Amino acid sequence: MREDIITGGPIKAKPAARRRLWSYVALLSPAMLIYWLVFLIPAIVLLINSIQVNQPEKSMWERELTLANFIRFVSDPYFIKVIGITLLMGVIVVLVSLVIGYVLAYHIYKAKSFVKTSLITIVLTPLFSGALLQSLGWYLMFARYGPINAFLKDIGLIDQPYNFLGTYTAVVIALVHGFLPFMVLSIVNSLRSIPVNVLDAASSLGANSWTAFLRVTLPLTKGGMMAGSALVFGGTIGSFATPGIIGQGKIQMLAQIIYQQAIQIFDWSFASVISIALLLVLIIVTMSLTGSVKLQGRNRG
Amino acid sequence: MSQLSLERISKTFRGVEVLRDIHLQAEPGEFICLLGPSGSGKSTILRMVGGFETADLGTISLAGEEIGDLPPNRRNIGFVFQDYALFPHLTVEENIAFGLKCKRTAAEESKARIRSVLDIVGLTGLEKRYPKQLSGGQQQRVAIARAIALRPALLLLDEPLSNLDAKLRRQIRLEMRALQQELGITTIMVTHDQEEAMTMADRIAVLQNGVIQQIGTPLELYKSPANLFVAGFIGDPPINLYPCRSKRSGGAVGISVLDTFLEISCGTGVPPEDCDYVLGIRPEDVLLSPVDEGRGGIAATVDVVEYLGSAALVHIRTAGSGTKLCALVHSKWIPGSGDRVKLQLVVENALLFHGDTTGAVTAIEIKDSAAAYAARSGS
Repeated sequence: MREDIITGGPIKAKPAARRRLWSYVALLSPAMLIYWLVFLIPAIVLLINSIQVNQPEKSMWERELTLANFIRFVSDPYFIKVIGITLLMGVIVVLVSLVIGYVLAYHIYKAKSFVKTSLITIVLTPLFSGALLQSLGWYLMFARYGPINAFLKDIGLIDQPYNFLGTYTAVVIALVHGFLPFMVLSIVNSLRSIPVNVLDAASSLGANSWTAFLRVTLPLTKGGMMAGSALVFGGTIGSFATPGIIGQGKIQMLAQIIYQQAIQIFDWSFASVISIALLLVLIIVTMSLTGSVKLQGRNRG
Repeated sequence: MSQLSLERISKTFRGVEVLRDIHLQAEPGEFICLLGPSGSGKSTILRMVGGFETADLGTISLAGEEIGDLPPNRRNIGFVFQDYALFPHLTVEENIAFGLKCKRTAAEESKARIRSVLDIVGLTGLEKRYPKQLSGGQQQRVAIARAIALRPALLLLDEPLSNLDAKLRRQIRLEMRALQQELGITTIMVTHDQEEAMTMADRIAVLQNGVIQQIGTPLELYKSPANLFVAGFIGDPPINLYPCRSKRSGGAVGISVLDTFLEISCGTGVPPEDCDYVLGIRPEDVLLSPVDEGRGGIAATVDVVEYLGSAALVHIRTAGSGTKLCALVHSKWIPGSGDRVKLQLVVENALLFHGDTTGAVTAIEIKDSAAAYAARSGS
C-alpha cells in the first residue's frame, strides 16, 4: 500500500463518485422519508395482513399465517365480478374522457390567450373541489327533482322523473368529469410539443387538415393520450366517493368492497387481499401503458 | 411565360407594413435567392407562395394559374423548412411516402419514386431509419427528397443550410445547386447569407424593410448595386463608404475624400456643385505599396492586419485626415501594423451614390487621377 508522504498513513481514497452518491442520497432523503412513511410501510403492513388469519385481538406479530384469504378471493365469483366491473368502468371512463378530453385539449391548444386561460381554468375546477364535493354536486344534478330531470321533463322527453342515481351512466359521467383534467392537461402538453412546421409540411405535401390530423397530430400525441389514460384509469379504478354517492350502493367497485370489509365487517386480512388485487391491476395497466410509450421513444431516438 | 409570378404583393401585419409592392418573376428552371437581413420580409414572401400566409394585395401565379387563394395542399409546391420539419414518428421511407399517399399515387409508382429520390439525394440504405437517427445533413436531404418526390412545379427552400456546420454547408450548397440544375426545377430560396446566395442563385432579390431593393445576377449586384443598401449588404469584406460633397476646385468639379480630390465628369454637361454623395470603394480596389518603393499615392498608416490565409485584410488610416479604410491585399508583400504605406484607388471601379436618396449615381463618372498622383509624387 502506498503511504501518504506527510502523515505516513495510507492514502485515503476520496472518489468523487462516492461523494456524488451521498449528495444524491441527501437530496432525495426528504422525499424518500415521506414515501417510506406513507406508502412503503403501509404497503408492507398490508402484505403481512393479507397472509394472516383475521385475529384483531392479537398483535400483528402473533397472528397465524394462512393463504385462505387469497383462495377465498379468487374462488368467489362475486369478487371476480367486482374486479370485472371495476376494470370495465376504468376502460369506459378512459375512453369517454379520451374523446371528450382530446376535443377539449385541441380547442385549448388552438385558442387565443384569454379564451385559452379561461378554458384551462374551467377544465381544472374539478381539481379544486375534491371528489366528495364533486359527487355531491352531481348527486343534486341527478336527483329525482334535480335540474336534469326537470329539463328532460320540460322538453317532453320523459313523463316521470327518471332515477339516474344508482345507474352506471351517472357514475361514468361523474367520474369523467372528475378525471378529465388529467387527460386534458396531458394531451394539451403533447399537442404543444408538436413543431408548428411539421403540420405546415404535411399541408404542403398535399394533406388536407383532416388527413394531417389523423396521420401527424394524432400519432404525435400518442404519448400524451397514454399518460392521460394511465392517470384516468388509475383514478377511476381506485375511486370510492363517486361510485358510493352516485351509485347509491348499487354499483360495487373494488374500493367499495375494501371499505366494506375493513370498516363494516372488520375483516382486515380480506380487505388487504382486495387492496393487493387493486394494486396489482393498477401496476400492470400503468406499466403496460407507459411501457408502450417508452418503447416507441426508443424506436425513435 | 414565367413559372412563378408575383405582382404587386403587399402585406400589413398588426399595422406594420411587412411587404410593399413586391414584383418577382421566376423563369422555368431558374434558381432565385431572396436575400436580406432578418425582418426584411423574405420569409414572408416564401410562406405566402407556399400558401401559409395570405397577401393583403396582389396576385401570385404559378405556371399561368393564379394560386393566391388555394390552400397549401392544392398548390403543387415543394417546401423545405429551416428545421426540416420531418415527421418524427415516421421512417425516412414513410416521410417521403407521406405526400405520395396524399396524392393517391399507386403503390408501384410510389415505391419507384421513393427509390429514385433516395438515390438522387444519396440516402439509399437509410429507408428504415427514423429522423432522430440521422445527422443534420441527412435530415436535410430527406426533407428535400420528400419535397421533390411529388415533382412539384416549384421548390421553396427556407434557409435550408442555416442549421448545418460551415464545412457541410459548402458541400451541400454545391450538391443542391447541381441537383436543382439536373432536375430543372424552378427554385426560390430564402437566405440571409450573401455567400450562399452569390454561389447558388441565378438571380438574387435583395430585400430590406419589405421592399425589393434590387433583382439581378450575383455579378450585377456586386458590380453595379442599385443603392447604398445593396452595396453595403453584398460583398465580404464590406465596401468602404465615405459621405462627400461635390465642389469646384480650380477648373474642375470633384469630391474631396481620403485626403485627395477626385474629379467627376458628367458626359456632356457639367456635374452639379454642392451635391451630397457617398463614395463606395471595395476593399480589393484599394492598392497598397510600401513608402520606400517611391510610388505615388495617399500616405497612410496601418492599424490592424487580419490574415485570411490567401489574402490579408488591412485596416488603414490616412495620414492627413485620419479617415479609416479597409484594403484586401493579395500580393506577396503584406504590411505589418504600424507601417507607413501609400495607397492608390482603382477609381474606375468606385461607386457613387446620392447622399439623399441613397440611389446609385449613373450619369457621373469619376476620373482616374492615379496618373496625377504619380506626377505629383514624382516631382
